This record gives sequence, C-alpha cells and structure tokens, in this order.
Amino acid sequence: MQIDGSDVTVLPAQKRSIGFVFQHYAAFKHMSVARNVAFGLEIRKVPKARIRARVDELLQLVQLSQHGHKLPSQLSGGQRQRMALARALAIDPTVLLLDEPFGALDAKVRRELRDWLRRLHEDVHVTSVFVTHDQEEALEVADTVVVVNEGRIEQVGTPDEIYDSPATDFVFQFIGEATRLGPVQLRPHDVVIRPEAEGDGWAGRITRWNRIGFEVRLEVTLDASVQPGPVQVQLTRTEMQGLGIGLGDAVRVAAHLNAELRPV
Amino acid sequence: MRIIFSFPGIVLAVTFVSLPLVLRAVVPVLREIGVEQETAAQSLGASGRQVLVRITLPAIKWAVAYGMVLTLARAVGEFGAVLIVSGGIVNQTETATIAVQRLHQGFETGQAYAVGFLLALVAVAALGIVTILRPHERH
Repeated sequence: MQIDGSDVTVLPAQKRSIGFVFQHYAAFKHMSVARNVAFGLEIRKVPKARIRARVDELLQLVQLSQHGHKLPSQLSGGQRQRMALARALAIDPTVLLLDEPFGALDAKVRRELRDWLRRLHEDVHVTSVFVTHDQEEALEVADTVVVVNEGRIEQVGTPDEIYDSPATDFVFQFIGEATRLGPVQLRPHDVVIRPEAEGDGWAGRITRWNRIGFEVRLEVTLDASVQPGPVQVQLTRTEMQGLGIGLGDAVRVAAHLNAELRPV
Repeated sequence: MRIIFSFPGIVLAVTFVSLPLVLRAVVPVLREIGVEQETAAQSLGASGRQVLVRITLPAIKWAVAYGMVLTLARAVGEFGAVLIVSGGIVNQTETATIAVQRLHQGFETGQAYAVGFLLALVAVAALGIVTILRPHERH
C-alpha cells in the first residue's frame, strides 16, 4: 500500500503518519481534552509553546475551546468525537482514517457532525477515508464513494454516479431502496401511482400504508400472476394528499419516465 | 547467589503465592479499558514503551496499587511457603509469622502476642487502604 508515493505496508503503525478516528472515540480517559489533543505532538517532542498554540488552534477548529480543561468523560458523544478528530489532525497526517466515526451517536447528532465534517474539509485539506454502513452518510459526505461487498470493490464513483448509474445489482440495491414492478427493478420513489380509473400501468390494491414524517411508504399488491410480492411505493405527503387515495383502494402503478430500470 | 535459606528465597516464595492477587486486581481493569486507547496512542506515533508509560500504567494505577496492598497483607501473613525456604534462622531469615511460632513454642507468650499485635495492625492498615483504593469506584 502506498501513501504519497511511499510504501507504508511494512512500516510500523507509529511511523505511518495516518490519523485515526475510532468508532468509540478511544479517548485517553485520564487526560484533559487539551492533553488528548497534544498527545501526538508531545510524543514528537515539539516545543511546549508550539504545542500550546497548535492545541488552541485545533480546539477552536473543532469548537471545543471552552472545554480544553475538562476530562473526556465530561463531554457529550459528539464533543468527544470532535476531540478525537482534533487529536488525529494534530500530527498533520497525510491521510485521515475515520472508522464509522458517528456510529455510536444518535441520528440528529450524526447529521450535524456530518455537515460539520464536510465543511471542515473546506478548511483542512486532508485526504480522508471514511468507513460507514450508512448509505446516506456516504452519499452526503464523500467526493468519491467506494462500494465494497464481501471484501470486493463493486463500484468507485461520485455519489451521483453511484446512485444514478449503479454498476451492479448489488450497488443498486445497497445504495437507496429497490422494488420490483413486473419485469423490472426500480427505486420506490420512481413508481407512479394513480387511482385505478385515471392512470395506466399495472392494476393493484394498496395493502400497506406507513407514514414517516413528510414521507409516505405504500405497498401495492398486484395480481399474483404478475408478481407475487408487493410493489413498494414512496411519495411525499403532499403528493399523497393530491391523489386522494387511501389504504385498500384500487390503483394503477407504473414506472416514472426517467426512472432507472433494471431487469430482474 | 544463595536462594534457599536466604532473603531472595523468601522473596521468591512470597511473590509466587501472592502474584495472583495482583493479577486478580489488574486483569479485569485491563479487560475493561480494552486496547483502543493503546491503538490510538500508537497511531499518534507512540512507541511501545511510551504507550505503556503514558497510557496503560496511568489507566491501571489504582488497580496496581490495590493489588500491591493486598500483596503486602498477604506477604506479611505468609507462613508455610516462607517456613520451607527460609529455614527460620533467627535474626537472619526469620519473618514475623515464624517468630510468633518460635516465641509461642518457647513459652514466651508475651513477646509472641506483641509480634502478633504488630501483624494485626499491618492487616488493619492494609484493609483501610484497600477500602480507600477500591478500584471499581474510581471510574
């Protein structure tokens, strides 16, 4: 494996100059936040005054200036992970590795940190490898997404490429949701649903209705000779209200004109 | 170096019987803290020795202290193993517990009680220190 043209495969971990951010923070529990951040620099025997300046700068960058004297146990999960990031950045790594860094945090904090991490990279120009099981996170944070399945790379591309033109069925099903409609697979939000009298396409009946905030997820069961399982349909609450249909109604479902279709 | 019937022999024997006490205090703490902090320290450039001194030892220091006090109490009261290796030579390789036995058998009950009282004091002091240090409440 090469970083910046030099082979790091045989280098011991402490000489690779890779910044690590772990899922469970790996904070040094007995040290203050500032000492945590200073650790890599103290090891490198950087002069004290310069360490202090750099730690102040980093704490400001991760918005923890007020918390430098606290112990990690006094911080919230999101703050601890920001501290871990500052600690990793302190050694000016050539590559930053983030191993499911937001995995232990709740959904709202994750979203905030995701935005923040994205913006941080506009100021700090470091190549980061971000491992995640959260597709949304990958699409939102990355410039380039690598989809890995059972140790093999399925596709490398920008988030748009990955989502709009998946290279394999695995990628299609893994990134975003997929449903079957007759002979093809497509995204549930690419299914057009109309009351039976108005639309065209396959006839069926709404057999499940699930509303999650602004989003409505339906299951439409078609004639068993067309397909045994239901079609998943996804639309917004506003669209749904305009249609005037409900659970148990007879409807028609068809693929949207611009839908990405894949043969089953 | 002379081992049997001499001081190094006593140290060896006592270490052997009391080492498990230190392990029992330290191992659960080591398990609990895991290797994550150590891996992080390594990724930040720390060598094996630096990881030990800066991360591992500070994390387990209370457990080590706890184990050491227990060991001390155990070592002071050790009789069997020490009797075998020391030979109990008066003023040379005789420990307090062996002295108690010798004095008691020589009908010098008063002196035996005095040494015994000293041992009891050490035990009570150890108990007190252990109560203060109890590692589980330090996290």
